[in-house]
Amino acid sequence: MSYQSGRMGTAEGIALVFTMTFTTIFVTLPAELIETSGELGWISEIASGLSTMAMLFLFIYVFERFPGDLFYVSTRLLGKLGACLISIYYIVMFFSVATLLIRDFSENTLFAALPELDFHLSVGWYALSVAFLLYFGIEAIARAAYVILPFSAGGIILAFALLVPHYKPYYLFPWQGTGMTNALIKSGVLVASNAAAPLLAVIAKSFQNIRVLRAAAIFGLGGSMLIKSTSILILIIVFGPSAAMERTLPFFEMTRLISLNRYIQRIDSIFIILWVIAGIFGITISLYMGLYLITRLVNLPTMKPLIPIVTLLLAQIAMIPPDASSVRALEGILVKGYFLIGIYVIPLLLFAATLLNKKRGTKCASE
Amino acid sequence: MRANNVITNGYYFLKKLLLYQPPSDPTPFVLEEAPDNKPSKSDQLTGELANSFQDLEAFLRYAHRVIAFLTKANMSLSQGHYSDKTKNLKIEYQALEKQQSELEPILLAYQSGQGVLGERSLSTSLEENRQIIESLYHLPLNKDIVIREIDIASDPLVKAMAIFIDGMVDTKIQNLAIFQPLMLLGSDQRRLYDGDLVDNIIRKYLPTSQVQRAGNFAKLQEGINGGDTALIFDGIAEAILVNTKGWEHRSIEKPSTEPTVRGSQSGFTENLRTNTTLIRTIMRNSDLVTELFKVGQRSQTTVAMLYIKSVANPQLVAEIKRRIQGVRTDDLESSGTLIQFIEDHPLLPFPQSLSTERPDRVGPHLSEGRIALIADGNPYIHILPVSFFTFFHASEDFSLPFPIANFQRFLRLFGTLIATVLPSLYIAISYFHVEALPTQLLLAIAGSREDVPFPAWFEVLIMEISFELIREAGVRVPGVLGTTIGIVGAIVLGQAAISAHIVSPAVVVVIAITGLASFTIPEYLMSAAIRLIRFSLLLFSTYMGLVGLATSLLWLTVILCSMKSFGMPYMVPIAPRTTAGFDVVVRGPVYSQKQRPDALNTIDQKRQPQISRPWKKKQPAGKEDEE
Amino acid sequence: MRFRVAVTIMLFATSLLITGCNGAKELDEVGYVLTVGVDVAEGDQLDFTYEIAIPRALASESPGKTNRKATVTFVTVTAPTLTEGRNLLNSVIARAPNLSHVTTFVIGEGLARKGLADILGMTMRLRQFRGATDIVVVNGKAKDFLLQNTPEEVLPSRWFQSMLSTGVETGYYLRTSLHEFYVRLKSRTSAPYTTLMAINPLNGEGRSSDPAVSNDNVHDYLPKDVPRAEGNPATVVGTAVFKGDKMVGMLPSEETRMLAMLLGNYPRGFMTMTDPLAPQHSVNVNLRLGRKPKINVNISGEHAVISVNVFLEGDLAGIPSGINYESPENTRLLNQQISEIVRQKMLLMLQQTQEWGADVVDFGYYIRPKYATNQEFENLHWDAIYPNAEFNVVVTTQIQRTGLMHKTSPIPSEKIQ
Repeated sequence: MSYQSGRMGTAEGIALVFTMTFTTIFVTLPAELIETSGELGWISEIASGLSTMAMLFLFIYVFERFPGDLFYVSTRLLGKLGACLISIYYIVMFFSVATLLIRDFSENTLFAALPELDFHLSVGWYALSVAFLLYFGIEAIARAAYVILPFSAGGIILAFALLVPHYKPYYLFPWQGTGMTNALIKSGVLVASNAAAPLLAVIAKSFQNIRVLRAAAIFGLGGSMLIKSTSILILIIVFGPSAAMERTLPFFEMTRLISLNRYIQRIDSIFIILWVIAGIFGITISLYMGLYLITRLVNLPTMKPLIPIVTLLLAQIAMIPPDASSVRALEGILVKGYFLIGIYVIPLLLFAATLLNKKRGTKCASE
Repeated sequence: MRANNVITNGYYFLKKLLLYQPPSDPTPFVLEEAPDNKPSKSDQLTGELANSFQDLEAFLRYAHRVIAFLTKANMSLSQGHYSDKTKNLKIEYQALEKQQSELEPILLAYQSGQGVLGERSLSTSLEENRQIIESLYHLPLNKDIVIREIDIASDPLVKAMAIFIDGMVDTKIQNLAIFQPLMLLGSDQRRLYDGDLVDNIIRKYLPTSQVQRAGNFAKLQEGINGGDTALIFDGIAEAILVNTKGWEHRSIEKPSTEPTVRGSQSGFTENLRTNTTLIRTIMRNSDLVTELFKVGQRSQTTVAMLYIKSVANPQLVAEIKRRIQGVRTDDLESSGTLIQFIEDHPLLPFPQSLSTERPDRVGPHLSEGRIALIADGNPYIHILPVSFFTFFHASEDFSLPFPIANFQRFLRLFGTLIATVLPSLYIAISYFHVEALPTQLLLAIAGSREDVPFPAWFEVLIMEISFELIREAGVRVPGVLGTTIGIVGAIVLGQAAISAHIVSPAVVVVIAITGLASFTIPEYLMSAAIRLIRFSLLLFSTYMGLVGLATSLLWLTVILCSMKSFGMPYMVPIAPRTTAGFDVVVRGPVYSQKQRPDALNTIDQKRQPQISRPWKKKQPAGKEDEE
Repeated sequence: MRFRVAVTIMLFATSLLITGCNGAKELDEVGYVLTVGVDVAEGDQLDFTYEIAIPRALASESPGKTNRKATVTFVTVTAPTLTEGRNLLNSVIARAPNLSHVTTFVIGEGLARKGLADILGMTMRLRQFRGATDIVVVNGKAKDFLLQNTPEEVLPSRWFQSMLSTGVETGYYLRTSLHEFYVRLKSRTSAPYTTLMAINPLNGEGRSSDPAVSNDNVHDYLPKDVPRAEGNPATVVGTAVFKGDKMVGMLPSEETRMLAMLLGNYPRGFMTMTDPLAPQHSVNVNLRLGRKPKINVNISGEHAVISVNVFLEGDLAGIPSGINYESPENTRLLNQQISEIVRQKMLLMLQQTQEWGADVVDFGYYIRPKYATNQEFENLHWDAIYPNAEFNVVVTTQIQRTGLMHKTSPIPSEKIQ
């Protein structure tokens, strides 16, 4: 694994960020957001997306001053110890995102696709696919994500379009739901639904230049933000808020409703392809980020021997929680608490350090 | 000794009559282990003894020549003819001197120590050269090589030897261009030995278009094996190689594997020169460069690399050259073998170069900045580097109007998708996701399956394998019979299988559609790869339903995205995103192809100016007459 | 060495592959349940009637000669819950029961009056039941209905699907899915409804409520009372109205049509009324909604005023009296007549729903924009407000086309006796 700068372009950057962040459509998160904020749930995603984008722009500001990736920048600004702590935090964050996704998607598969599948086999299958894909490197994964991007976005929009007979727009009123503060703050800014967005910072050196990072942040995050808030919107319109917050798998339920005539019925199975691919990508990318940080931290020459070990470990960890409600509880703790540090605290820290650094004006002679 | 009386005779007679004796055949031939390395010739000793034996023989022949010369000199001097004869004698003497210098022990030791006979340079003695050539070509065992000794009319007489391979040379050219001028049309007065004999002959007395000089036996062998005629002269340590190539080869016919409706109908043949000529007639450009290489130790196959120098990326050219020159093998079977030696991912089934039989396809690709590789003896040219989407473009896409060509392209892509995914989709849905089928269809299929004793995946597998067998059979059986067998086999097999309740009709329909769809893929190698992929997708979807299908499609996409075709990423221009030009999935109008494909990084990006149809902007003809 | 590694990996993978087939069932190992009928039984049990398809009958090689009688078979079991019923079903049919192809839920009247909450709770949680399944209520027992329903279609479930999708031809019955029923159940304001079906006694007599509106010549029927004599005894007309999860009443045909108009789901339908200028004859019109009705709800305190604006368009279908209704003045007369009749029928229907306390039209849906937050909306007690609400219904009709005749010439007086 060489630490040369890479040449990934805008398209791959957008694809990476988009694929990583829009997997939350397929889990229970939208239903929980609707529970907290009622009819205004769709704004929570926009709020969360915008605040994460702002934080990403802080990161980009830091990278403009100090070209390199996250580890290099934090070493320069905060010293070895600071870099160590930040890296360890992000490693834990990415790995927990990956583990949660493995668990969520295996359970989704068991529930929605193959009810009689063995649980261990489902987790093992996801882990195996991810391990296989990781050997090809981030470039191939990002390119494949870009290839699949129009199909997944198109598929989701198609699903929304096919549901038009069930729309009841007045369910969006009373439009404030449980209150603006609830919607914006409690379920918007304080819920890390875009937890993995800092991946742009982690592999910043693999992109061509700062413009690519900016475009990836705006379009990737913006696009996924739009799709997520549209999906919550459609969920409210179709089910009404009281029925929507009961659902375990909102997107799956929406696709189950599609029935236009005698032939276009019960086609939720076709959408399985969509979310399985999205899930596997999500797990792969977050695992890659975690592994990349480990190799940077400990200065290993390559990542490949770590892949089977880490995948196996994470698969085992994913199987630890005994039932679905404990997974929900764990997710609540992580998404509403731990991930927020990575999204808000660390960029602000680095930003402040950059500003201070500039003010002090001490630059090494070898700069 | 047995006793010769009646009893014993009778006894032995009866024994011979009654007892069965097996016929006394010799033991059958068994291919034993080959003897170690060196081929042993019955008339050649091995090791150092052989070398010294040869040296002694050479010395002996030299001694004979010296004796002959001395006899001749003695005779002419005693006869008293001085002026002209002395000159000839002097020339002969100088030749003998040169030969003596060749026979220096050090030189001999060096040459024999080299081992490889081919590296030796020619000797000035015709006889020595003949000896070496006889040992190189295993004469007189080898009946293909002909050595023709001639006397060239000159003053003094030049003894020469023509060596060629019977069948590879065009005898007409030989007679007209070599033997006639040298033997008949000369005069006794010309003085060939003045100055450089070889130069004289080449410049003045060989009316052929291509000649070469050869100084060592390696080059000489190369020339003779390639169909040239070698001329070796007495007293000169150089040979002339005259191009007299003229063996029988196939004439230009219709391309057999790439039929088109509206494209040109000439296809490449096995002869390298014909192929390069065909390409040159399409691309009449001075910048079109042909570089020749010889690949294969024993087969010495000529490989030609064509590119347009002002357009192709020089680094690409250098890399391909490096790869071709780095191939070490005994023989090169075809261009397909060559490509497998030099491509990036020889173990993956997807083709990384486009192989075509049509010159009108090669031309446009060359002008886009790609490189064409031709191997002598194989009519398939390889164009590289290519991207994945090139394999879905048919050769006549640009001959047809815009909507028709695009409709055909979409049809092909749709056909590819179906060919890859349909059986797996059928299996996944019928096993795991029955609710996706409309009820009446489902009940019809379920009802027809009731008579079938096999599980659905087994049915699909049998039908797939039998379809592949039919396809393979249709390829191997020649002529009209092939297509008939294909059709008859398919129909009869399908119908009989249904009536015998081995498969259900739905599966036959699925497999038939899949097979038909796979025929729409224009490139044979790509369709072979898709067929292979289809089986693995089938395995995944049998095991895990649509989840397995999704996972395998994802793996396939990632593998495709990680492939490179000679330095160019395989899935360009989709991933990574480059300027597409208007010819990826949908083909733009012919006047909109303004840029060369970005990913090839050619020297010159533009291929059409901004306005490709200036006639549109000007007045139509015929209006000037009106007021 | 690489070969050995590859072989080891393949052996591991193969051992993974043979852990099982993950629930894969061959198409002919599954018994497909097409319709489920639920009735009350003694104790706290329920009677489940399953209509199971026989695929062999549908797979005959020559089309059109399928034996209709043998395409489905019925199984009835008694069990406390839906899932337990499915368990018992497994003991009856040889194949594994699969309820993913159920198109209709048929509920008996007794169970509908008792309450559907138990059933619904289960259908919303299990994967096998979908929100897109239709739900209908039958007068009497579902079992009898399913057994006596002998349609001309190949599959009885096909009969259900076609029947329910053609309700829009007349507006006499509406189609509901489980999803809609459930959403209406859970929302604060609306009342669920389902299609109403029954087995007609086929005695040629009918019983209708007399036209309660003057000038209206159409009779209002419940499905059992439709005057019919021959054919498949199953008849579909009317709506069953629920309050909460219990059925409280049935709307006959014309009132269902009014409901359809108010729901905005009325594309076609013939209507007959007395000729305003010749009261002994009737006039036929083909009515449809011009655009969705405009509904406005105003609440002041505990009093609600609901104003409804309905826009109807129509074509003339028949004028037996021969009067020239194509001329502008006569057309205006006709328009007014139609509007008046429709208005009165609507008021009747709305009053009926008010008596039941069930807001079938879901006027509460239209109040939502007037509130800003959920908390205020929760303080609204629509159940108490609706029965006392005041309705202002305005109907505007416009006869647009006159059919194939543009002018009726009168029959000569000599011929009229």
